[in-house]
This record gives sequence, structure tokens and C-alpha cells, in this order.
Amino acid sequence: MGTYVLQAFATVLQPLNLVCLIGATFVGLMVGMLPGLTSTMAVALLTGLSFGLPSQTALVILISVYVGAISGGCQSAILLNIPGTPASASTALDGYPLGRQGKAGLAIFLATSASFLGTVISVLLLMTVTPLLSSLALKFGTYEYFMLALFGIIICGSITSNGKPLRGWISGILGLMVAMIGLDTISAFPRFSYGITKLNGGIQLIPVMIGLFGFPELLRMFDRKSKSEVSKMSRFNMREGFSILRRNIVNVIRSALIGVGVGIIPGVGEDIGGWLSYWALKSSTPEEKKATYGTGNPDGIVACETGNNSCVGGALIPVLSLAVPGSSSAAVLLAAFQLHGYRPGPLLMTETPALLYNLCIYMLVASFAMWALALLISKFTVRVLGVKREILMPIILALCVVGSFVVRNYMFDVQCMFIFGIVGYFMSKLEFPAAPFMLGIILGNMADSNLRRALGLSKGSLMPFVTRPICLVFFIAVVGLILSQLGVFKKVRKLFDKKSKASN
Amino acid sequence: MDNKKHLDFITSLVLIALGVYVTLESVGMTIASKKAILASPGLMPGFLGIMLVLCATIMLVNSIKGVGFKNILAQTKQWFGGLVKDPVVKNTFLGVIFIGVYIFVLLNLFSYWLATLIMLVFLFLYLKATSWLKAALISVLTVAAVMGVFVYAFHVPLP
Repeated sequence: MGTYVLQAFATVLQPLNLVCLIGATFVGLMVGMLPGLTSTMAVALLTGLSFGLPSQTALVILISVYVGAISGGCQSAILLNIPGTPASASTALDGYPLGRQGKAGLAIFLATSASFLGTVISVLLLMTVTPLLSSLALKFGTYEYFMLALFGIIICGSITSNGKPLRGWISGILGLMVAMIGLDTISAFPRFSYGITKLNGGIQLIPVMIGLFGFPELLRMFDRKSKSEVSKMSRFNMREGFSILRRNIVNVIRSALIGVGVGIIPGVGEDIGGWLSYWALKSSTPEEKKATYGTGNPDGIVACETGNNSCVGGALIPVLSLAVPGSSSAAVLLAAFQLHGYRPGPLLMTETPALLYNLCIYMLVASFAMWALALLISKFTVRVLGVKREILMPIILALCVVGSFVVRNYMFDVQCMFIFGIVGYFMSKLEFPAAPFMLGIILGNMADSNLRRALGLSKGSLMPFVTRPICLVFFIAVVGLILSQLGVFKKVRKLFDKKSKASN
Repeated sequence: MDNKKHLDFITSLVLIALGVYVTLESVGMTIASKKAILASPGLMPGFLGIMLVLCATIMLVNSIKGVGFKNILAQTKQWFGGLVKDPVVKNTFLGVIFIGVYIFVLLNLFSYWLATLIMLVFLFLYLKATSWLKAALISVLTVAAVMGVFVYAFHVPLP
């Protein structure tokens, strides 16, 4: 382990990689702070754009942009009351009121420092949990992999759908359907390709992701004008900031653990990590102090930013150990790892153990860079936030085309980006979450091949799906989730309450 | 929530149609592959098609519940009528057309730098983002930066 860590430091400190790290973190911060541009979009775009670079340099860029983008969102949340990314939505609750009180500098210092602490804690957990989960994943067979895919879609659909799980599940099913396009992985039978040779290779993930996440924002530039009222920047007040952070040690650790836990859940993103951490903080506060939340309480900013940034490391744990992404951005990273010849999954620790330590160290250095850069550039944030969307978005469109094209040098992929962009636009208008759709595309082939192999091995019997221990755990979780989301448990409880009242 | 029930109604009908189509295609795949159902390439699409029909049917029932079939039909008709006049729909449709022309026409006719230059200048002016001169300047700088970084620095081919 020590050798890998030292090698990773040596790699990241090479001049080219260091320059790329600082540049990518800067880009990430900019993307994060500009409302409408998400971390997933940035990582997807840069995956395509960094394709021609050496693999380690590309990984440095992708990790740095991810870390930067999740943190950058807090600046616009505090100064504009518009979260730059969904991850920072909860930060605006207390960040903006604190900014309006003339303490925007302190709020940005707290948010940036909390983001840094969240990332560092998640890196430590990533280093320790991934090898353990990888060894558990070695026990997975075809049955377990199918159940894992099913569990991933159900839980992602349930959590990302804002209380409308049916929409999340439908989105996941649609994603799985898209994954069925092309030659099937077992018998090379063409499915849904209609004799079009280009479709035989299936639909590429990166153009779909760029379309799903970037296109809705591109189209929105045609139906609304940019408006921005930016708060004034003030001094950081670091001494006060450090004393607030010292007071919040328990809050930081709790939020980081929540963030990592949320990150591990397939497809569930950083925004949920932020909200859950905020909720946990509020729940643990005495009743008389609860009213201070939402009025500029610095503890709220610390909880949200620690929670969302610790998801970054957490989301990579299932990517590396199970090849199942923990968030939308992690899904793009998974595709990027595969593009650069890595095979994340149970065999990662035996085949390419260096990858884990490389990513951890890149993330650690990127979080340092993010902290320093975010504080440095915050003086100029006000100007950046003043850039018109009408100028920014056409430039983003030009980059979306490049990002979709460079993966295979294929215009068909750019056309796919356009088509899935329209799908993404409708999905966002109709409130269907995009994350389960994307997870479906990633897990589609895994679910398909493992289901068919499993049924072949069991001669058509479904019993192994409920009798094997790991499968049983997934089965109970899936059934429990579906029943709870459909309100069955509540109805049963009501029925029992009625009966007990009647008997009394 | 209720004012969006007609959208759920239309969406669920489209999804049911899609689910039925996928299920039928999966049957065709099973027959064409000449394999047993459990090993056939149509197994998973069939399973997904049925699941989609199931979920979309629940959505359909929920959309009609409390409103009534006649009312939801009337709401849908009214919504379709207003759709054509809605400025947001009109602008978004124009946006799709512009981006579509850039991707399917300009990029096929010209090389990336020229197609992108035309698209950028046009969109800046259409969106009234800035003056003629600034629009041209920003467009040239953007194209030069993209070409410089990707073609000359990274040796990545562009469309």
C-alpha cells in the first residue's frame, strides 16, 4: 500500500499532471458555480475531451473537475441564492441569508473548508472500505449480480424521484431498454437495430450522458433570459471561521459519514448527501435553537457542504469494488475508467490495485487545490456569476459536440447526443429523474447476461434468487423498498390502528 | 399536482405503447433466435416491456383517479390547443431546430471550425447576447481556443 501511495504522489506531482490538476479543479469550480452546469455534465464533457491524453493525466483531470464542481456550487448558492449544482441546494438555505448579513466571505470560507474536510474524510473511507467490499464482491455470482442491478435501479429510482418512485423506476426501465440496443452480449443477436449497422455496437454512454444532462440546460437558454442579483463579497474572517469549524467537529464527522453512506448507494447523488446531513444536524439540535436554521446559521453550511463533498469519495466505493456507480458523476467516471482500459469491480484489487490509491491521492491533492483555489477566486466570483447564460450556453454546445465526437471519432455519437438530449429535456419537464435512466444504461448488459446465465444454471428455477444468502438480502431490500414506496406499510399500520381502536 | 395530471395521462399512454411494442419485439427475437425462452436474447427486453406496461398502467390509473376519464380527456384536448400558442414551447422548438441544423446540416456540410463559427455568431445574435462585433470576436476566440487545444495540442481529430 505504501509503495502505491508514494507512486501516486510521484505521478500527481509531475509538472504536467499538477498543471492539469490545478486547471481541472479551476474548471470544476467555475462549472460548479455557474447555475445550470452540473458536475456530471462537466465530468462527461471532460471524459470525451481528455480521451487523447495519457490515462493517468486524464484520471487526474476527471477527479479534480469532480471535486471542484461539487464544491464550486456553494459560491453561487451563497452569493446568488441559486445553487450552482443540485448538490449545493441545501447550502443556499443558510448560506444566502448569511451573505445578506454582510458575511458572504465567512460563508464561503466555511463552505469551502467543510467541502475540503468532507472530501478528505471520504478519501480515508474510500481507501479502507473498497478493499473490504471488493473481497465481499468476489463472492458474487450471476444470481447476485442480477439482484444487485435490480436493487440499484429500484433504490436509485426511489431516492432520486422526489417522492414519485414510479417515475424513477420507469426512468430506470427506459435506461435498461436503451442498453438492450445492439448485439446481445451472449449470442451476438441484433436487438432493436433495424438493420442499421451503426446501432449494432449499441449506444455509447458518454454522448447519452452529455445529452441527458447538458441538453435540457442548452434548450432552456431559448426560453428564459438571465437574471442575476449578486450579493457583495466580504472578508473571509478566517479566525471566526476556524472557531466555528472547531465547534462543529461532531457535525463534520456525522455529515461526512452520512455523505459517504449516501454515496455508496447506487445512483444516489451528492444533493441527497447535503440534504440528509442538514436534516441530521437539525434533528440533533435542541428545539429552541431550531428556528435559527434558514436564517444564516453557519452550522447548516458546514453540514451541507461536508455531506455533499463526502459523497465524492463514497460514490467511488461501489464503482471500484462492484463496478456499480454511486452517483451520476461516478457513473461517468466508471465509463471513463473503462475507456482508459481499467476494469473496476471485484478483481480490481488483484489486477490493478494501484488505481484505488492513485484515485485517492489525486482526490486528496485535488481537495487541497480546491480549497486554495476556491478562496483565491472567490474575490472574482461575483464577476464570473455576471456572465450571461446567452453567451455561455452556445459555447457549451460547441464543447458538447466535441465531447461526444472524440470518444470514437464518430458523427453518429454526436447525433445520439442530440436525440438523447431531447429525451432528457422531456424527462426533466415531466419530472422523471435522469440518474436511474443512466444507471439503467450502465447496468443493462450486466443484468441481461447474468439473468440468462443464472436461469441457464438453475434450469429455469427462480429459487436461487431467494435462497442464496446475498441474493436474499437484496430480495428483501428490493421488496421492502417497493412496498414502502407504494405506501403498503402505511396502509397496514392504519389497518392495525383501526383494529386496535375498535377492540378498545 | 392536479394541473399536471393530463401530462401524466399522455405520458403513461405513450409508455404503455412503448412497453407493448418492446414486448412484441422480444417475442419476435425469441422466435428468430430459435432458442429456448430462458436463454433467448428476447428474455430481458420482454421482462422490461412487461414491467414498463405495468408501471405505466399504475401511472395511468393514478392520473385518472379523482379527475374522471371524461375530464382528463377534456383537459388533454385543451392542453393540446394551448400548446401551439405557448411562447415557451415555440422558443424551445426553435432551439431544437437550430441545434439540429448545426448537428445534422452544418457539421455535415462544413468542417467543425466553420460550422461552429456560424452557429456561435447566429446564436449570440438570435439570443441578443451581445453586439455584432463582440459576437464575432467571442465566436472566433472560442473556435480558435477549441481548435488550438484539441487539434494542435492534443492531436484529437474534430468533426
